[in-house]
Formats: sequence, structure tokens, C-alpha cells
Amino acid sequence: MVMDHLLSWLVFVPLIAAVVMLTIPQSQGHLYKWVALGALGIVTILSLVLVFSFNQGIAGYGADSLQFTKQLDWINLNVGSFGSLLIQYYVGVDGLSLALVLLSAIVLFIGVISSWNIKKNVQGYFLLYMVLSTSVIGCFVALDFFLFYLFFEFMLLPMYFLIGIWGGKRRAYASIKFFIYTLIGSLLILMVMIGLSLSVVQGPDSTVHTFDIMKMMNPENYLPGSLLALDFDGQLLGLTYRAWAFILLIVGFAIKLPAVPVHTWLPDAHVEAPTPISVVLAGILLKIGGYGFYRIGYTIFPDGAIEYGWWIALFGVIAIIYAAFVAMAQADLKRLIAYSSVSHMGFVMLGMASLTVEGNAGALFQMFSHGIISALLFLMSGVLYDRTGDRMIANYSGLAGKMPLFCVAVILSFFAALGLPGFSGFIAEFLVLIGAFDGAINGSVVDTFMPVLGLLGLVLGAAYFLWTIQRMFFGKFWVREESWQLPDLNARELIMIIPLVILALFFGIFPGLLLDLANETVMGFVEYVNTQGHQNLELINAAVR
Amino acid sequence: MENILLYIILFAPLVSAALSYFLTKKWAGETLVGFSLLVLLAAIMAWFKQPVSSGFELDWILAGNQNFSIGLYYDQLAGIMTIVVAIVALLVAIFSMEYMKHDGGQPRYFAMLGLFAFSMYGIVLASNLLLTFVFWELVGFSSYLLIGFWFEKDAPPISSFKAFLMNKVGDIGFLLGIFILYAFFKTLNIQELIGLDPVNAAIPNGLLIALGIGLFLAAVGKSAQFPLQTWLPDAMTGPTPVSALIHAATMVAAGVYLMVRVFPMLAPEVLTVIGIVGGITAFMGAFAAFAQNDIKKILAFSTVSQLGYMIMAVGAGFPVAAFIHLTTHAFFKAGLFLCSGSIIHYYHETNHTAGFDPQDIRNMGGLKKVLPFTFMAFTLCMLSLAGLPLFSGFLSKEMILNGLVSADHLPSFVLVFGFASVFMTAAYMARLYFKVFFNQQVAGEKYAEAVSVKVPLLTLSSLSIGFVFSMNPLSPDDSWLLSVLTSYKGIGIADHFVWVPILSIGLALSGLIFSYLYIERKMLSGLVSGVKSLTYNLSNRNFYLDDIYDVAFVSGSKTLAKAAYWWDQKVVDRVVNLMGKTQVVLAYLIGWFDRRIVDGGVRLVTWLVNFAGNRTRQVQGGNLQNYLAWAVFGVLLIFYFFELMT
Repeated sequence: MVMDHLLSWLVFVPLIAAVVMLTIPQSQGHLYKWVALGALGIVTILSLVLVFSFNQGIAGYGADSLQFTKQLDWINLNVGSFGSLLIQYYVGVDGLSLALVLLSAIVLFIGVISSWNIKKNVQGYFLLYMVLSTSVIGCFVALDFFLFYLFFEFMLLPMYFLIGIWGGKRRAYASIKFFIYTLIGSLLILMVMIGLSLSVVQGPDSTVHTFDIMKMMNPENYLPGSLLALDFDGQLLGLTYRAWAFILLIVGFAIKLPAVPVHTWLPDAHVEAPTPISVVLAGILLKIGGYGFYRIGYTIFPDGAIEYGWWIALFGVIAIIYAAFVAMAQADLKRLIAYSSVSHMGFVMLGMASLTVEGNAGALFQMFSHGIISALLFLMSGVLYDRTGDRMIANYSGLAGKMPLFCVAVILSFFAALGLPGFSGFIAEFLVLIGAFDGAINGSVVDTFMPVLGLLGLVLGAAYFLWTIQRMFFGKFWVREESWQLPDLNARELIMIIPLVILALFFGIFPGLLLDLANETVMGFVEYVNTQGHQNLELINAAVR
Repeated sequence: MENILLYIILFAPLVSAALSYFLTKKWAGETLVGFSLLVLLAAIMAWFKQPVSSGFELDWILAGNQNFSIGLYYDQLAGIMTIVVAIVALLVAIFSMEYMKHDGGQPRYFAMLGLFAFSMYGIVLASNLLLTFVFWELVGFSSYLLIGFWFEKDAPPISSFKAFLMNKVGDIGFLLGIFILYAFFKTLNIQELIGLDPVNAAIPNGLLIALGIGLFLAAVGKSAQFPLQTWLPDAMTGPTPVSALIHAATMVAAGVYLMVRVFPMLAPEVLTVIGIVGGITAFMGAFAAFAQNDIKKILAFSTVSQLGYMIMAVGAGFPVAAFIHLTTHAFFKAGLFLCSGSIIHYYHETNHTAGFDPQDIRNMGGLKKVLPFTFMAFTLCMLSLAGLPLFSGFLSKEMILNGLVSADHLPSFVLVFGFASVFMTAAYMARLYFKVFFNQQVAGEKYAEAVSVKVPLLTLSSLSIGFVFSMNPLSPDDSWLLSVLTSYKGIGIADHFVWVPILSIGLALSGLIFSYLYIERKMLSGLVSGVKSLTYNLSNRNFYLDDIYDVAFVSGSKTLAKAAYWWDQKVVDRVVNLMGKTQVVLAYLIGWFDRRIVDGGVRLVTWLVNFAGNRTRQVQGGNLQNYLAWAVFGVLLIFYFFELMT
């Protein structure tokens, strides 16, 4: 029974745990975290079951290559002459989402351990955390646009409160900024979703309008002459409506990723968020932006992917370089890490836009790898903040002598983040750059200067990370306040850090274990975007002319 | 298990590192020595047992149908290199046990040495460029850790940071080269690539040159060539045995090794660039060595200069000469560094004056009597470095110089630099030699060198004798290394010029004599002080390269970073905040509008109604006279209305 509804269990176990929490009286406050830990423990185990029972040999990309699917009619609205509107409960995984489901489970689990010492309103905290968990996993498995959007929006609410209540000094500002930014992104996506539901029907002769993403891949399912159909000849400011829809989607998800220049919510949100929420935010929430690029933007509008891929790659490269420079100028350790996230997400955009198998595999791998490594990095800054309440780089020096274990952990995670071979980050960045370069030479949409500038990002990454190590950990021991107590890592922290380091190393040495899961899907995806995209473009150009 | 020996060579140091760090902490040094001995035996056995051109490939990264494989490959080049690395690594491990005996961080130290050896063997044995790159970076990483070993001091963390970053700049070139090769050939296996003959394949010329320059840039970083050579002298802040192993014999030689490996992929234009850069480096290194007073810095600049020789030989088209010089240099330079280690150790143990710098040669003198064993070893290694006949350095240096003379694609100043550096090498080494070992005024009592110091010194200095490499130590062409390496693609034996050895021996001897006269006999001081006044600062500051980089790159990127952050805060984020504020202001305006205008209208209506009600209420006041008056008024109004209608 569990296997039949594996994905549904994955999504709703945290929600069930939330209901259970409601029944626990406040006087038994210590139980909340155990319930949360148990629920996410189950989720982690289920996701491992999912990974191990996933058939990685299924080729192609689309409805047929999905596994563990469940498709049920949910809401069926009859709208008179317009036909009817069908919203489905449609979940499933393929190579694009599988690794991200696993990542979510791991990071959310680590996040609970990291939340162990939350004191303020424990019940509320873990309730929101459970709701967040459900909606995050839901996002990665939903295949109905409406369902996806529902989960996507539902993440906002718990996140807003988790930052706004349990955050630092400027939490009100940060949380409202996060909320508004993301809401704007969601609205852009909503616009496209409505447009799509008006245009797409279940089959060529059907009048049942659908939100099924897989149906949206096939041009024959678009009502002839409808707003987003290939043969629609209307234009807005010189661009077709399909182009506008693609751009709106990409901007919407770029806010979530985040891409330069819509990234400024991220540093503020991170700096104010409590450590576990930073871990979840960087570890998973950003990936939903990247995943949205894949599953929504590129899948529904392959023509846009071809036409605007160059720009996406360009913005990716800008993010890599620009955010690296900004990171170098940071005085706050957590802000530095936040900007490094922006820089690393640039690789996702570059790899995806390259439309080569290597680049796309690299971009997916980068999402997973960055999930692990950024979680580690934010745990590192949390370790210091827990002890002193201060994260200023200039307030510390020579920590290595006082906290040797912590120093080893920091060196490992920083080198993992700057792409040292042996860690997963190297594989990701290598694949992205070699894919982009290969694509540029062999006639894809990107140019050679992009991966070359991306290489420069590697040097900058090494510069700001190592500079930080040199300033904070080496030299003579000194901290600003003599009263600061700096005990070395405790057991709880080691329980979080060691598995993450091992994962980063493991997938750096055996990348195949992850890449092989996605390989067939990625191949199918790249093939689909390239062929379907060019076909669509021809039809669109014929219609517009 | 046909490749078991390769596995042992590669993984034994890693196992040793893990053991030293986690388990056998007290016996960390012994662990490493044991495993290093094992590796050396395996390397020697491999030389006899492992078939040439053997190895294996494993799938590593599969992206689509493209497979990035990794694997090991064994040939004579790899065989000689593993033996050289294994010998030096073993001796350095032995030496370290004495040198580091008072240091609390021994497990960490020996673990890092093990990690380094693992990465180094990886570079040597890797069959394809991706795996080479992986180990290339790991070598940089372990070097970073070892240079910064004494992290509580001020200087080591900075120089380790610098070393890693400058290497990273080179690594970018490496990656670029890999990308170009992959884009055109879809393989990174070195032997396959050589078989595909990239130089004559259909690659646009610009990319072919970019490929060569990229790969060369990797070597520029790792082998400390101009303009990235400045990390190497700074790296001397690490423990001295580390300098001997990493920054003299192995890691810095990796760049040369790579060039030798990929030589068939280098376009002619690239070779010219390589030759010029090598020549400049050889000259600059030798020049900068003159005005240093830190014994290790002198040796470091000397290493830079000798690496320049090897790179020059590659540029001249004689990679085998470069490789042989790499081999001979590994032994005599490691020997020199261990001698300096022995000297520094002696001062550490005997002189505890505060502020005393045990590395400053101005504090040294008369060590000939104090450290006789070190003196003997130093003499042999130095003569080999100077390139005097009967020593190994003579053989390899002759090959390079002959190669330079026969290469006509290089500009002639490269050749001039090559010969000038022979004189300078002999002169700066003799300056060091006479200052440290003679100069009787500061002599001390005889000091008993430990066995673990003597064994490495003895071995390395005997490996600097010419007979080791050639039965006829006067003729480079008779070297057994040459005949072993004949099967290597890209070999070319330079023409033999009779005047080359005569000139170079003459230059070397006059360099030695020059310094002897100046230091020991106090002659030539007029000449020297004249030259000194002109060039001292240039030499002492290594052509101000560091100062230039500080201004151009360090401050430059910091400023750029600050500017980017300013832009992010004051422009990008301000726009966002401004939009937020505009929203709020707009909301207030709308609120005002809503309250005053919309709501005001509503209230106006109610007020009007109210007003009218109040007024009309009085009509029904119960006053009969009023009723009558209104009734009459009403009737009149009706009549008037009808009047108007008609």
C-alpha cells in the first residue's frame, strides 16, 4: 500500500505529523521535535526507497517516462460554452525530480536536528516546519500546474512566519521583503498558468481545459488560434504571447533561484533567518526555482528555451561573477555565504541554457550538490552564531587553535564549496562548464565567452572562501569580546555535519550514482527541448509572418 | 590483479595518511616511513614487472552517451617519475622525523605529507587529463595545507592562500585546454589524444593556440613560471622538509611533467611562447636569488630558475631533456633543501636568543666544521646544480643548452638568458656556500647530526653524481635515461655542439670563482657594490612583481568587490526598496483619497440627506397655521405648474 502511493506518503507524512502535533498539549512541549524528527525520518527512508526502486533505464522525457505516477481528477468545473476546467491530483517523478526529492528529505531532516534548541513557541515552529516540508516535497512531485502552484504558494506562508517570528533583529523587514519578492514571482507564474489553462485542452478535439504539464508539451493540445497556441499570430510589443509567457515564467522562477538582479531578498532573508531555516532555504527552496525552469519553463516552452537561452546563460554568467565579487566584500560571514549561493546558482542557469546533455546533467548535479554544501556552510555560520551571537568576520582570528574540529569542518566545507575535486561541487561545475563550452563550439545557443568567464568565477570563489579562512581561522587567536566562550563542536553539531561532509565527498567520488539516475531523463529532456523547440519556432515564425 | 603495483603506489600514501591522522598518532612518522618504503619497493618492482603502456580505464562520469573515464597508465616516463618521487618522499619522511620531533602537530603533518604523495602519484600515473586535473587540484590543496602548517604564525596562512590562488589561476588554463580537447575529440585520454594528433587535426588555429597556452598556463602556475612565480618563494614559510619534497622535487616538477606528457599537442607558436617564458623565468629566478638573505628563499629562487630551464627545453622542442633535468634536479635540489633544513634545525636546537632568525645567512658562518656531514652533502649537490662535469646536473644542463642552440624558432635572447643563468647560478650558490660554511668568525662547536638527517643527505648527494645517470659522465648522450626514453613520442636528440659544454663549464667556474673572490677574499668589492647599487632592490624584491600584483590584482579585486557591493546595496536593492516605499506612499495616497474623496462623497450625501431631513422635519411640526400656509403654497404651485404646461 505504501509502495502504491509512495509519493503521496512522501508529501503528506509531514502534514499528518502536523495534525498529530496539534493534539499534543503544550505541557508536553519536548515531544514536538521528536514527532518532527520521526516524520522526516520516515520521509527520508521513503525517499531512499523511492531512489532504490526507481528504474533508471526508462528513456525519453514526457508523460511516458514518469514513474510512481498517481493521476486523479480533483476539481472539474463546468464553465458553459467555454467547456470545462479540470484540475488533477497528478504526481510522479523522473530523473529531473528524483534527486531533488532525496535532497529535500535529507536537508529537512538535518534541519530538524538543527532546530533542536528552538525555545520560542516550539509548537508553532514545528507546525510551520511540517507544512513547509509538505509543500516543498509537493512542489517536486506535482505534475499538474495548478497543484504545483498550490504547493509553490503554500511554501510562502510558513517561510514568512519562520523568518518573521524566529528571525534576528531585522526579521520584520527581511520577512516582508522575502514575501513580497516571492509573491511577485508567483503572480507572474499565475498569469502564465491562467493563459495556459485557457489554451490547453486534454486532447485535440476535447473541450476539457487542463493544467496537466505533460499535456502542455504537445502543440496539438492547444486550441487552434488560442492565446498561447503556436499558430496564434497576435503580438505584444513585438513579441509573441508564447515568448512573453516564457519570459514571465523565467523571471518568476529567477526570483526564487535567485538570479541577479532579482536576488537582493536572499542575503537579507538569510541573515535574519534562524540557522535551520537558512539551511532549508539555501538547501532546497532555491532549487525549486531551478526545478521550475526545467519542469515548467523549458518543458512547456521549448521554443523560448532556444530563443532566449543565450540570455539565460548570460544572466547565469553575470550571477557567477557579480555575486562572487559582492561576496568578497562582505563583512558578515552569513551574508558572504548567501552571496556565494547566488554565484553557485548561476552555474545552474548556464548549464541548463547550454542545452547539452553535459551541461544539463551538471546543472541538476549542481542543484543537488549545492543543496548539501550550502546546508553545510550555513551550519558553519550557525555554529559561531550559537556561541557568540556574532558573525562578523573581522571579530575573529585564529579560531583554528581553539576549535580544531570546527576548523577542519570549515576547511572541508569551504573547499567543497569552491569546487575542489573529490567533492560533489567540482563534478557539477566541471560538467556545466564543459557542457557549455562544448555547446558553444558545436553550435548550441551559448557563446564561448560564457564558460570562459565562468572559469573566472572559480578563481573568485577560491579567493573569497580562502580569504575568509585565513582571516578567521589562522593567525593568532583573538576575538572581539573576551567573554565569548568558544567550545569546539558538540555531538549534535557533529551529527549534522559529518553526514553532509560524507555525502559531498561520496557524490564527488562516485558521481555516477546520482548522474545515472537522471541520465536517461536528461538525454530525453535535451533531445525534446532541441527538436520540439526548433519545430515550434518554425511554426511560430510561419504564423507570425 | 595485473595492476596491483599501480594501486599500491597510488593508495598506500592515502592509507598512511588516514592511519597517521586517526589511529597511529604516536607513530605517525614511522607509519609514513613504512608506507613510503612500501611505495618505493612497488615503484621499483613496477619498473621491472609492469608492462610498458599498460594500465586500465574505469567509467566515472556518464553524461548522456559521453563517458568521462578515469584510469591509470604506466610507461617509462611514469616509471622513472614514480621512482624519483618515491625516493625523495621516503627520504623526506625520514628527515621529518628528526626535524619535527618537537612539534605537537605531527599526526597532522605526516597525514598531510601522505595526502600530498597520494595526489602526486595520481598526477604521475593518470591516464587522462580529467584525472590529472583532479590530482592537480589535490596537490594544490595538500600544498596549501602544508605551507600553512604553522597556522598560528602570521606569514604561513598568507603564503598558503597566495599559493593556492595563483595555482588556481593556472588551473583555469588547464580546464580551458581540457574543454577545447573535449569539444573536438570527445576524449580526454592522453594517449588517444596523442594518437589523434591535435596539432594537425581540423581545429581552428586560434583554438589550437588557446589549447596549448591553456595547458601551459597550468604548468606556469604549478611550476612557478613567469608571471606566476612569486608564490614559490613565499611558500618557504612551510616546514623545510616540505619545501624539499613539494617545492623543489615534486609538485613544482608536475608542471614540467605535464608539458612533457602533452608535448605532442602543443602547436609551434605555443612552443615559442613556452621557450620565451622559460628563458625569462630562468633569468629572473637566478637574478632574484642574489639579493636574498633567507637561505630557503635563495634555494626557492634557484628552483624557479631551474624550472625555467626545464620549461625552456620544452619550448625548444626537447621534452626529454626537460624531463632528465627534472630528474637530476629533484635529487640535488631536495638535497640542498634538506641541507638547509639541517642547518636551520641546528640553529633551532642550539640558539634560543629571542628574535634570532635561524634562516638568515647573515647569522651563519663556519658551519664546515660544525656540520661536516651537511657540508659534504651541500658541496656535492651545489656542484651538481652549478652544472660541473662529473655531476648529474652537468648532463641534463648540457642537453638543455644543446637543445637551445639547435632550436632556431626561439629568439636569441632566450639562449643568452640560458647561458647567463649558468654563470649566475654558480655565483649565487657560491655566495651562499661561502657565507654559510666558511666565514669563520661565527663558528660554533661540532654538532652531531642525527642518523635520520645523515641518511637522506648521503643518499641524495650520491644521487647527484654523474655516474648514476651515465656511464660516461662527460657525455650526456650516453645517459641510460635517454635510451630508456627513446620510445617516447616527441623525442629528439639535439645536435652536439663542442663549444656548448666548454662555454657553460667556463661560465659555471667563473661564477664560483667570482663569489669565492668576493666573499672569501673580499676582492672585487668595487665592482660588486657598483652593480649592487644599481640592481639590489630589483633583485631583492624580485622585480617588484608582488608589489605590482598587490596594486593591480589584490587591490583591484578588492575595489571591484566593494564597488559591486555598493552597486548591489545602493542601486539594485535601493530600487527594490524604493519600489516598496513607492507602494507604501501610493497606498497612503489612495488611503487619503479613499477617506477624503470617496468616503467624503459618501459623507456629503449623508450630510445632505440629514440636512434635508432636518429641514423638512419642521414641516410636520403639528402647527396648524403652518400646515395651512404650506397647503396654500402647494395649491399655488400646482396652478403655476399647469400654467407652465399650457
